[in-house]
Amino acid sequence: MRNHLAAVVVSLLSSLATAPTSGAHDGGDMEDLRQATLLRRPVALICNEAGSKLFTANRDSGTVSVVDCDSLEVIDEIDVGGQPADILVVKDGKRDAIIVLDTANNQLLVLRRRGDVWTVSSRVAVADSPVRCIANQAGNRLYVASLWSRAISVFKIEDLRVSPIATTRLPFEPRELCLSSDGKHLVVASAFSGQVVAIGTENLKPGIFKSIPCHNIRGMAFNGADELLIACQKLNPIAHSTRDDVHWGNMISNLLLRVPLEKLHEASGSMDASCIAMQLGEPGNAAGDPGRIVVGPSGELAVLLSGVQEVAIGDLQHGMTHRAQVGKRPIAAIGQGGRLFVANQFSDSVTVIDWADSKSNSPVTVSLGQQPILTEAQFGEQLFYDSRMALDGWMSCHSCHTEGHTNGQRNDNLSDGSFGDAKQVLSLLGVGETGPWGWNGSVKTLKDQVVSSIENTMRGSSPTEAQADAIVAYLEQLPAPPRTADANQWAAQETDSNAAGLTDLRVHGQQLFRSLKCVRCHVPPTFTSAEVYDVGVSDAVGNVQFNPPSLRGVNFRRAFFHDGRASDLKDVFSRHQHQLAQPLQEEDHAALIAYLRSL
Amino acid sequence: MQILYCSRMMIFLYLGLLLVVSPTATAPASENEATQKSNFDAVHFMAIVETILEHHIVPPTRQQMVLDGVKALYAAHGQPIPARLSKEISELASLEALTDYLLTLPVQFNEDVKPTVLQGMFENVPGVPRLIDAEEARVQESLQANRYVGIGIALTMTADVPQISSVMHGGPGYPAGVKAEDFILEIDGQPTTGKDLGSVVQELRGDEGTAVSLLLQQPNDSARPITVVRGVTFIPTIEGLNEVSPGQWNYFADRESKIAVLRIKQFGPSTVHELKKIESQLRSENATGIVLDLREGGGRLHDVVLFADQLLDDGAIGEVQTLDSNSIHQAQPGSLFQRIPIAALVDVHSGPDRVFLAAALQDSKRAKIVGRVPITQEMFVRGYVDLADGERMLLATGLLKRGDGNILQRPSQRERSLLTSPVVALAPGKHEGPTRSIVIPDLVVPYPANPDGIEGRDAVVEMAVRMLADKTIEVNPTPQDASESS
Repeated sequence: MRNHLAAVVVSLLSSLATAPTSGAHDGGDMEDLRQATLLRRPVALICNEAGSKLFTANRDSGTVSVVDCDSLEVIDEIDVGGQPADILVVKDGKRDAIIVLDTANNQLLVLRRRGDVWTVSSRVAVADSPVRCIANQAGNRLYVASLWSRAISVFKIEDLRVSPIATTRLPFEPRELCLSSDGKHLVVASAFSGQVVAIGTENLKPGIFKSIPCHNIRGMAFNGADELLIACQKLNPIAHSTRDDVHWGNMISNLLLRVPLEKLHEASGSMDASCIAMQLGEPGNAAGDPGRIVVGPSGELAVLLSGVQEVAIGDLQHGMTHRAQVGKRPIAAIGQGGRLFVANQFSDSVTVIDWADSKSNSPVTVSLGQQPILTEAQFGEQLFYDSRMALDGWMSCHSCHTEGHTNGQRNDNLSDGSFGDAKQVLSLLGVGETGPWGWNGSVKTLKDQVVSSIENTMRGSSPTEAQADAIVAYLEQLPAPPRTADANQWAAQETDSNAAGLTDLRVHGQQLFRSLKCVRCHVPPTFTSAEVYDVGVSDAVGNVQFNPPSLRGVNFRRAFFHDGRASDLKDVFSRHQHQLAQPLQEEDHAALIAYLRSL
Repeated sequence: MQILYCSRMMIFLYLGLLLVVSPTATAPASENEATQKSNFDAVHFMAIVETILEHHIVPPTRQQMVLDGVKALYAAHGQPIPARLSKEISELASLEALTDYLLTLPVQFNEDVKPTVLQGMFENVPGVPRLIDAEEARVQESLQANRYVGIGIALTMTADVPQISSVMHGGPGYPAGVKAEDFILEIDGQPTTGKDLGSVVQELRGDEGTAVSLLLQQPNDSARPITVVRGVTFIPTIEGLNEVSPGQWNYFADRESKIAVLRIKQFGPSTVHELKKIESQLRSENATGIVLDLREGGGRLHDVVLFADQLLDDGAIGEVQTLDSNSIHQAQPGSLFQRIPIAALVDVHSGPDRVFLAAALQDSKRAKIVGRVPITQEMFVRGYVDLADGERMLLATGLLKRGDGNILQRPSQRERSLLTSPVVALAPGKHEGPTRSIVIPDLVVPYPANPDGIEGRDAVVEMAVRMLADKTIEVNPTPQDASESS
């Protein structure tokens, strides 16, 4: 605490020495000072139609920074509150509006302008935990992806007003969105796994759910009308987490996939044989955590390399021939007037790159304001998303524990003491309370687990004490996935019962959970315990004792048991008869699942 | 880390060692070797016997190994083998009894007889075991990782002077101006005259970033000094058809059909990376077919599995049976060379790793196999087992199986006798049972090497290219068909 206070004082003093960046506010010096030392964390950005102004959505400060695209100076910072996650500009004749997606309050905020002053004019509710929004070319439809609600909502934009039309539920947690050039299909990707679906924009009806051979999809863009580009990663469960396999890109690869759109619509057939992969990075100079893709008007291509503070620039014909340095965790980008604007989440800055000649012209960095000295958890968050913690920059913690959750893949590392049996990547949401760690529960402190993962799985240099402590501090404040109303709705849909029926079902499920003695190992409130148990499953190298993973947020997992042998929660009981003396009756089965999904 | 490696054997195939200033190329044990190791005595001998018993997948009996070793011991001392030796040893069963027996022998174990005794003892151990000293083990590991630190040359002895036979394009010697055929006259100011190849190699070695000064001389030219900073030498494990310039390969057999030939010289950790890069290049050049030449070379099984996975979208790659586990290797979604047909080449000498891969590609119908039935090598997984004093043993620690569980084996005598003349008597479908244990090419290229007058060229490559280019060529032909259709 003392450190933190000292930090604030120091940064206040230092900001006094520099001129406040925002001049448009009338709040006086103290307001300027407050804003000057805000932690902003820009996560999205957009230009107005004229290309004269750039707006960034700042997650931690609840503000929108306005940057003049000519002078490259911050000319305003709009306090919108909440936790902005995405931002759009819409236009109606001569009037325009900014739409901000607020994750904290599950709202779309519509900002209107009077002169040069922007104010929130209306707020529209969206499904819980919205993370991304996109508008169609005509500017009359808006689509929102809500992560934990597993929902896609469509809104009408008319006369600069936003009103809901419909919501559709998905079997996965959506994040990235992409509209086809004819506007007829909205492609939605899972935030964690490689699942992708094209949704008809007319009726909001999901097409065929497809599985792309990758995960951690953080960039999608259309190349022309027929080809979808996907920036993602691929963790290979056959590879070992040795120095060799990491160095040569055998364990994790960073990819730009070319996917023919028609294949997404085909009723049958796997996507495996349809995706052509372009490798990003190389041994010694890897490209961890590829992110947003920007396609230029003449086919030029930029892919953010979020984990290594770079942007890969090139085209599909010649490959990504050049890499430009940007700030910490480039997370959003747009191309505008021959320039690339990149939001650097952990630098609180925007980098402007001369896209046509990025080799000879150095990028320009626009600071959104002075940052305070970081708390331990804030520092930890930065490290969590930093691929340079791994050998050559191949991956960050986030590559596998995507946003603190899991990518749903398997990895063969030494956390079980040997190679030869890849284990399911565990979710870290709520991990602070679920020790001991690792599948065999052999790691007694979270810090040991963090250090071991960096050294033995990511093959990075040993973290310093301060780094390890910071990552632990960050992990400890990651909450378990929210038990949202929308998840209830999903569960209701799945179990074919109304809300009251679902409650009854869950009550029955909870009774079963007790009577079947599930609580012996999965002890509430964390639904795990410190022991290891032999539950009749063995891995390929003969381990039979496993620590039960926490059941909190089990609704948001796709693979169960150490090797993911059950791909559905129902299979855990129906196929694998997990700790059941006799098979469950159908109603009991449904009740138990309904209860588990509510945890 | 090291402890973990020791507690579990590292299972990988023996590396068909690339000669990069390799110490194994030098003949006798240097003095260095003799001083580092403990004396070879009866206890040490029995420790090796016990290691084989404990880790070998199909070991001979303890008495058999002792008998073979003792016979060799007598021979090494120039003594006749006692008449009752076999009976005496077969009456002893336990480790203790046999050790006591060895201690009372009239002939002694010592370092001088070690190679002969081990050679004798290994005679009846399947899979050609080998004892490796600590230094060689270290070099092998760095080579396998394709991170060999040195100056990147291959060396021979010419008239008592070390001569550079080739310079690796990916090493620090090449850009520094080291040339093939250079004689090495001095190393760090010390003349090389009178030194054996092993000590020259030792002097050239060193840590990454350290410099070594050389006095080099091309034949019939004046001597020139060169300093090379030791560094990582990247040795490509995949080569094309011919090298157009250092490190630049032409892959295409001919420009028209756009069929590329990839020679897998070695399976190492870098091989998949190389394959991805080549794939990307060949795709942009619109390759229409791939010939994977798997005939020569070795590699680690782990890297073979990773390689197979890159070519297969799903299904079983194969299995590895060791004493304490049976690992099933499954291909993961996504693969390279999508929609491009592949022919994989095998030959009589192809090693177990290559046969394992060929079987996987054949069973999953990803490639047609072209060439000849591999017959000469035993089909074991060879793994390293650590002994005391940094020594390691290379042993047959596992069996290789096809995805359907059939154990891959060297063809039996009967099969081999069938193979010598009417090759295709063993074509798939014409045999029951044992054929699943050997890989029969889909297109058998019979001896002699030029079935239809392909002069001076590689007939097997030629056949494969034709098969891919001319899709009308039918595979699984009779021998007559094979030559007629080509």
